[in-house]
Amino acid sequence: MQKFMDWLEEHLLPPLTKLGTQRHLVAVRNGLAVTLPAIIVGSIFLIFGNIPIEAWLNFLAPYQPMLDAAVNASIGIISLLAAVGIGYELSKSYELAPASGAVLSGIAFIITQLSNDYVINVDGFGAGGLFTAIISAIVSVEITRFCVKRNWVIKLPGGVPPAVGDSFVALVPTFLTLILFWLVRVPLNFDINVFIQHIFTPLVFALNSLPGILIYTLIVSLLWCGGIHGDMTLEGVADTIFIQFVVANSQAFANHQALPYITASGFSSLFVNVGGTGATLTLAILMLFSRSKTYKELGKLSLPGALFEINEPIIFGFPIVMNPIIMIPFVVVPQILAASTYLLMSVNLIARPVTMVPWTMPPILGPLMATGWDWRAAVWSALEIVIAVVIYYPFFKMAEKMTLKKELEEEQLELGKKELN
Amino acid sequence: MKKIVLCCSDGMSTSMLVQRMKAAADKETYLCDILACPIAQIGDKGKDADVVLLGPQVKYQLKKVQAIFPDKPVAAIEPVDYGMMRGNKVMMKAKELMGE
Repeated sequence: MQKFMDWLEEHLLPPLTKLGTQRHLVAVRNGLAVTLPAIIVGSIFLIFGNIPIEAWLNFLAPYQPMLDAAVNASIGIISLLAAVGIGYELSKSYELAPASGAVLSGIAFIITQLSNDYVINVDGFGAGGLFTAIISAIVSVEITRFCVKRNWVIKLPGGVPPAVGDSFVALVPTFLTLILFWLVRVPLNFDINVFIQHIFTPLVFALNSLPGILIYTLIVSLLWCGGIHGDMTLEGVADTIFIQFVVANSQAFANHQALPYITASGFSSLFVNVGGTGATLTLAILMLFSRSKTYKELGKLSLPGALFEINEPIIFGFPIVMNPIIMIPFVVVPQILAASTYLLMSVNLIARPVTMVPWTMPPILGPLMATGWDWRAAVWSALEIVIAVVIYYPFFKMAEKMTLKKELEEEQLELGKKELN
Repeated sequence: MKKIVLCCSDGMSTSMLVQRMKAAADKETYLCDILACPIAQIGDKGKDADVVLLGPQVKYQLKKVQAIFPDKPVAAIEPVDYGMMRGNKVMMKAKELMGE
């Protein structure tokens, strides 16, 4: 076990944390965060328009296109928003004018979405254009950086307001970006969007497969075992795909088609991380009933957060980090929950995520909303807590025994000190 | 008045700690401004801070944050203090870093 932990600290964690701090991936993560309010609010229209009560659905039927309009204008343009958001964040990290970078990557993205007759095709504004949005943002911001570095910019005298100055600085980069994207898309008639989607097909396929999602879940758990925010470290890559999945599912749901993806956003955050990564809501509950004073206190302290999927008190307080006993269920439980949820969804025993629910939504309620009110998902979520408790229990008891022993020793030490006095 | 800024991935779990630090500061009637923010916003939110503290789960970004604020004390919070939400201990650490 010690060997394994050394390996974890020396070989697995450093390259992954590098991934978590890589400039472009950080910009992707932060840029995608900008799109979340639009997806979440769009989702509200989607789920309230589809509450499975016949009277409600009949009542709404004539207005459905009106509701869909709100969905199309939020969830339906997610890639455009991502291009703008990522362009902004990447420019900011290079200390370039962020607004100019956002606008420029928006332009670059739109060019990639032109049809062969040169009209804007909004189909790619939804899920299908997300990778293109990322590439457009990175390419256009890098062009800007290149120009600024070589001083290929039009500079105005010092007295000009910065906002005006920035817009002139952006002229040459905008020209070059526009020319480049235009050349490729229009005269060369190369479909950038299709090409980029094609390149990323293996990654998309892998993360929607059972082995793929298990490996992803494993890496997240191991990172947390090393004390590193696992979900956040992988977000730059994984969220791109999970968000794309949930948007595609939303759009299919709105059109009453079969849902294409299982591991859409919410699969991990709501079905696997019950009460936080590692399904640690379980530990909060077990600690509440513990005879150990430390655990009882930590249980009371961590339960409110755990109900909303926040579990840092447990991760660092229990602690789970570098704790060989509790690391076992912390890694195993998510594997079991991910595998069984995947299987249940693949045979349609429970519905797949169709809406974006904030990851802080409590268990049972979160899955219920994310699946567009599938009561079976709520029941499964409750069952998951039971499964997690059963697996955690023996390991928890072992850890508790050690903590009780330590507490007893400390008490005796205190007593001994008092007697000496 | 001194300003202490804490950051973690989303600024959520640190905001729980902030509440406890505020309680600890109130107890000793120490006047200060404490706030939590996502690490992505630390560049803006930490500008006028006297000390910046990172949650242990984002400790791997310590060097990066130190590079943003070369003349400010920037440190990571002890994992156990963070987990047990020991507001008073973290408060003490912050004061120490500010040289009080």
